[in-house]
Amino acid sequence: MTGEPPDRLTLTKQVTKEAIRLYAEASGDFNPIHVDEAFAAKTPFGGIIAHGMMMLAYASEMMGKQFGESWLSGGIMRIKFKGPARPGDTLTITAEKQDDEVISGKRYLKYALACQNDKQLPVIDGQMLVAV
Amino acid sequence: MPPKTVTYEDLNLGFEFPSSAYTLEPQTVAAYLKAVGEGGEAESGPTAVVPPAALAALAMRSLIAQLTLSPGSVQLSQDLEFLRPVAVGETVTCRAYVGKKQERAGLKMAVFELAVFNAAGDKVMAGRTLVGMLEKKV
Repeated sequence: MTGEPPDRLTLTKQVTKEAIRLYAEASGDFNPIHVDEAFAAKTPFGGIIAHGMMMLAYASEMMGKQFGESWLSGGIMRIKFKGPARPGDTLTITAEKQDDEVISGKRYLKYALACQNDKQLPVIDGQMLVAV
Repeated sequence: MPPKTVTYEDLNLGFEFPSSAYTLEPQTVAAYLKAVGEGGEAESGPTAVVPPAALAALAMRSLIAQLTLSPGSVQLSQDLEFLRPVAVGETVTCRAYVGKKQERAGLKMAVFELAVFNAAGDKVMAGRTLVGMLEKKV
């Protein structure tokens, strides 16, 4: 990375049944809450939901595009899954710069992560840090 | 043989999953990238680097292949630390164990500690997953 780190990063992603199915195949995670409509309808979610790791992947993609090698060998994610992402949702993932954090004598840029659906409901939040 | 399904009660604190070695095949990484809608030439060449979130997902895949959590289990939080880049085609080894079991407000939860090593034995990724688990056995 060259220059000043950005104060804000953002990325938009569309959640589809097809993406959830492809993710289940790629990850081997066929938990019925993600792939079985009948099962998922009986859970508190009321229908199938995306894998939490999909949202984490979107956030990581955003950081990777910005910070490149620094993210690959010095990235930290602290993620809390707050609510479901459902087929049809448009997700907005943002990262807002916070004060740097020092871990074991090493300085990290720190960003507050938020991911909301199109009803402004939180899907994930947390922090992402990258070594500088 | 299909993976064994385990409930909260089946998991013993400190239980170590059998370590699993696997190669990050180009087609496996490509399938992952297609699923998350992440593309571009940088990820598809012979010396391409595996996106770190893919490394985490594929590490978990290697664990799911051995043991799967009871249906309806949900991931509550995930910490990851990316320590070294890993190239497509590399063989890595995943190790994991049950780090904690806890019950709060009627919800049973388990913490899984995860580490991935490259062929040289260097740790390339560390992670911690908190999962809420259903009691019901299927």
